[in-house]
Amino acid sequence: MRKTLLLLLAALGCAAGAAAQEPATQDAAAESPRVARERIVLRTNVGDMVLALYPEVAPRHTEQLLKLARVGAYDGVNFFRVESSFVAQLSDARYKEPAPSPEQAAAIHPLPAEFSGLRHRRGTLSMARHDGRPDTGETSFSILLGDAPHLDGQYTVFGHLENGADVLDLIERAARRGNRPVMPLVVRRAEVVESPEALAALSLRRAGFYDEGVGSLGRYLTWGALAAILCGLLLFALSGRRAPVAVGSAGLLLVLVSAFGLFSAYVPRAGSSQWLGFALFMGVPVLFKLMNRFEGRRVGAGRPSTSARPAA
Amino acid sequence: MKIPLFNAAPASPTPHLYFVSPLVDFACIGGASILTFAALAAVYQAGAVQATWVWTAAAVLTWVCNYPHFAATCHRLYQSKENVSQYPFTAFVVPPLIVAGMAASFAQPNTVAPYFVKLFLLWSGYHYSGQSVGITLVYARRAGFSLGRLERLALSGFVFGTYFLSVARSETAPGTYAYYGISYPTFRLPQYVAILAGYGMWMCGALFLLFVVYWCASNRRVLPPIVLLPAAAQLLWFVVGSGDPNFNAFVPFFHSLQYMLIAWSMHLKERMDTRGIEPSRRYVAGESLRWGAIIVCVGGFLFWMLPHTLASSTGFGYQLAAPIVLAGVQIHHFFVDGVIWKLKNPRVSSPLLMNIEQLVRPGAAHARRPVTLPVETPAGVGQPA
Repeated sequence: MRKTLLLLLAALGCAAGAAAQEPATQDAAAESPRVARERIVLRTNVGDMVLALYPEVAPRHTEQLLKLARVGAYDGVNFFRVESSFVAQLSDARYKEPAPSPEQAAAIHPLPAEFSGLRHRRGTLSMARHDGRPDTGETSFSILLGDAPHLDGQYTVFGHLENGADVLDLIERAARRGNRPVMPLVVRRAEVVESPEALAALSLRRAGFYDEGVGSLGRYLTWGALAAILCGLLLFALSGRRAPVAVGSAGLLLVLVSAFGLFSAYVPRAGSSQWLGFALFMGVPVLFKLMNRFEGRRVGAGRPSTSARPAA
Repeated sequence: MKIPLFNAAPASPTPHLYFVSPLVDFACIGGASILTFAALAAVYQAGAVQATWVWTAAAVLTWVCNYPHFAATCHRLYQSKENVSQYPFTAFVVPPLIVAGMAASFAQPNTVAPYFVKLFLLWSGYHYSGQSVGITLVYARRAGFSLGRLERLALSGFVFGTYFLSVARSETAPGTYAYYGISYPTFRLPQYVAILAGYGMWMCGALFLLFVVYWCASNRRVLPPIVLLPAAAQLLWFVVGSGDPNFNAFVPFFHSLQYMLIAWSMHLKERMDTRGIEPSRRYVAGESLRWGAIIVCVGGFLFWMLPHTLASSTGFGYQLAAPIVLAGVQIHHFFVDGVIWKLKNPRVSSPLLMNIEQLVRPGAAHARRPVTLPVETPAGVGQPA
């Protein structure tokens, strides 16, 4: 392996030393260090996360992270390792695909450890490093998914997750094989927001699975799905009287498939508009109601019978 | 379960009120759930403690009743060529479509699977509500309580209102929920949607109760409580007891229990009528055992063997394979359930209005002959609005 960035193994090896660094000795103020004005927004394919950095606790890490984000070094990295209640770790930007640009590669260099008394808790940002070599942190870091006191004083804590706990929650629960997510959980873009005011004006996406590959085709696909739904409803309306009942059934299946396409495309975006959420909320039972009519009309049924017929 | 009825007033004689007996019908239709809720609330202060034995008991009951109830729908549709030929799309087109949905979910576990699972979970509550309305209509008919359009609207409004309220409450929360290893996001509805759903539900409930009171006054008799029991149970499952995880563990069982009472009765009656079997206790016991064994085995195959086999053969793991398979099987169940209650056999006397006496005592069927369903039962009649 080219570079091992295993937090866990190192932590186990240093467990005794960690125990010696009793958190009770920390200054209370150190538990809520001053955060930088700048924030890093990680735009991932499962929602947006806002990272706050600690310039006084870890000045070199803060400077490095901001620089890397500005040059786009984190664009395209992914959460390659997720361990429930422990860490979600970003991959090394040096080995991302496509490869980093010369400018991005030039910005990457090893960082000296900036250990502090800050504890590793859920949401803590902790720089990864080589096993047994404290000054080897570069780009890969973890967002803690639970308390990890055995890491305290062994890894540099340089910030915390300020916004996007729901996204972190989703990352923790996403399907995995072992510790590796089945589908890539990718940072599409890392942005530096220069001030809290600019952050407040920013539109952040909540947790959800965003199929960004659809891109500009999304609008056309939406109209296509809506047109298919209308066609399906038309076929259903005509069946039983002017068309065989099978046509109506096929029409309803067309409605179901198209509606599912819209459902999967728009549920992740439901948080962006209360009307969209409301439309989904009301549309789903209408779909179920329609499906109750599946194969319900029979050829030649005509008007519904309302009389009971005695048994044969 | 959507049970087709017809609008015309029944011809005399009046059918039995109960399928089996007051005690058994009350227990199966909702009484057991009310007693369970009361007992759990008394012991654990409404979910203050998540009891291990509750989950163990719920898992056992799932094997005994919940899985077989899904299998019973498949068995009813696929057991004869005659049934299959009435609904070829449901029998042969829907399964490959669902398999395609499952395959897409496996291929795209983060972009398709969450919504496949979410669709199933939303449909599930709707399905419960449809069954509650259907069973209310059956007992109303048995009790001679004629439901007009407005009464049906009020009843459906209340029962489906519990569903809307439950969904609205859960979908107002930000973030995601998980079903096994699959997370899916919420609609993030504004809070007022849940408030409006609550008002709508209670208004419809009050209106339906007014109709009941009017009926009681004009007929000078009390409506048998079992007519109102499915709606009361639905309120308990979706609203009153929804915050108690101990109770929630049993809700699928109670829904299945309702279903099994009707499905078991119908199966025995239909088989007896179509094969010209004489009523006897031996027939009821023997056929119940045979039918029970089939649906338990099919249920075990669908809900245990299939997800485990797929999990091990695809390498995706049980936490990913199970929710996808379970969603697919149950969406198929919703489709099949939508048509099997419309199956028509002119040789079969109405099983929905039968009583166990007709199955065990020779001559009982003729002593109190039930009203029959129309041969060409129109779609949608008797179904929830």
